Amino acid sequence: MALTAPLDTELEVTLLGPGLGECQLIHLGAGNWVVVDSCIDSHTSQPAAIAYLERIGVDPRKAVKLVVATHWHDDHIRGLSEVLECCSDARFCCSVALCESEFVAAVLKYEGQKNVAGGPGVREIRNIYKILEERSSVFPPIKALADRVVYQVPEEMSGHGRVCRVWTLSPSDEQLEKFYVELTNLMPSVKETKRRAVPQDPNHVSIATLVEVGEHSILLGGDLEETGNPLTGWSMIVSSQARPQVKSSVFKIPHHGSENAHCDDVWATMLEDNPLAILTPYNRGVKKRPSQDDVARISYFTENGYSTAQIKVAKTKKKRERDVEKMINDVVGKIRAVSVGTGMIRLRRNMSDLESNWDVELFDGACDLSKACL
Amino acid sequence: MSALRKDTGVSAFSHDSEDTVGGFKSMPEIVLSVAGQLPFSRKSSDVTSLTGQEYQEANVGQVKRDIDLPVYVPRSHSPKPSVQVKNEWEGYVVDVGAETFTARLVDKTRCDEHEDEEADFPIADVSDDDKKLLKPGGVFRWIIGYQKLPGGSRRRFSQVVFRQLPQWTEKELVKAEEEAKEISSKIQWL
Repeated sequence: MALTAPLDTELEVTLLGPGLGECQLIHLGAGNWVVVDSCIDSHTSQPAAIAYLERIGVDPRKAVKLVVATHWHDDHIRGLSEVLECCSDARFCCSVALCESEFVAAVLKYEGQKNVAGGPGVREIRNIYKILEERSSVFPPIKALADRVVYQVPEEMSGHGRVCRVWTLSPSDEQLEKFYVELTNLMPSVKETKRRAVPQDPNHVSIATLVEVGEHSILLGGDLEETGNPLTGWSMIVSSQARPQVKSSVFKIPHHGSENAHCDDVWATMLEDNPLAILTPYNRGVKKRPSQDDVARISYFTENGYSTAQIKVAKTKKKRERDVEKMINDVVGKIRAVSVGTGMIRLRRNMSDLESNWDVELFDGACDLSKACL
Repeated sequence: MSALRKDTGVSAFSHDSEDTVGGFKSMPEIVLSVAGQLPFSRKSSDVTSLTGQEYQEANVGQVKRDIDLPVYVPRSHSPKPSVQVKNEWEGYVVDVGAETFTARLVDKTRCDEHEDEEADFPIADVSDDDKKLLKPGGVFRWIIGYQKLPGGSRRRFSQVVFRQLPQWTEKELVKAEEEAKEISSKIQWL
């Protein structure tokens, strides 16, 4: 399949991952692109968003109008500062929680350690702050809150005559309160032994994003979890009257298909019947996502599920002496590669044709969700 | 040649000798001195000194000599306690479970810079002293290699040693908070 840029009238949703995380690109029309999160392309070692846009002949410096960081976990933020740096005409949007000086202070405390690197997530955020310091007077960054329009393309500039709006649906005030409590746990104190910053679940402040294009919409779930509390998570979004009361035809499934991000009411009230459901797997650590049960659950709600890669143990490609391999095996079993091949799901829909539906293209190992678990 | 690395507790790097193990040229020997976890400690020399009397008593039936000269007998197997490091990683903990912890690894033997590998370690392999450092973000060294035993035989060893990093000081934290306020004031959010 040829990798070409979309037509001005085409709506596109591309999901890249896992590589080192996940990344979504949305073409709203007429060359207006939005990037949500970032991961590193395993083939080029570039940020996957930049690699993809260059591959289809789009100049990211002019085309990308908005860069969204849903939350600060490593697997959603790798290479994001490079994306922002490259996309010089783009505005930046992140959770209001990450804009507070308390969080900035936590980042600086970890990143400023002389004896140990703060961690990739912290490094990315520190670099983003540096870019924003220089750019904010021209392109002020935007705080993401529940039910807020963070970017809009008027109908005369969309290429298909429809108004495009990008909404953030979270975090809520209650979610922010929880995050500030967690932040105090993360915040180092005097005489505490230095360590690297490791963001922990749950993902209270992850942004869920709704992209509205005329009568069509796309729901991007980030890593937002479901808590059962009507003031937080997906329950809060479902019950909100301030968000657009639309049903989306595409759903980027949150938190790699994990059960803790599932909410029945999202499928019942925010999605069309049998929507396109796309996800990136989480291949690392003990808890791989989605599990067989997760796949079965998602498949109950839609027949159109896709994954950017199969869920498998990613073997390290590093060659070591035989006796070293034997010793490794005795102690930890196999060493896994953190990065696995980056796959891609691309969805396109021609908005000038009222009869058209989504075209689904799978690249580089992306597969039907039913085949995702080996 | 020797160096002292306080962070890992690994001391006295010795580049004086090299060995061949399993057909591969080995890395330089090092001697570990991690408190309470030593595979061994350096105690004796390569050359054992005996007096003439001792030598004579040890060689019953041999021709006795009147003179009492020191006799130096080189050992066929060096009893020098040492380990031969085959591979070394720096790791940091990302998740702690009931029996294992997951860590990202940077292969220091290959001079890698990025933590592009991951493994699950048995918590039982962590010393009691280090268990207080076993939490997300904790930084450690993982060393595998061969331990030479007195008499010349070898056995494999693996050691996870958490880095005793310095503590945050009030000055550092105050500086970070002041810098954070300055950054926040420069960024105009909508």
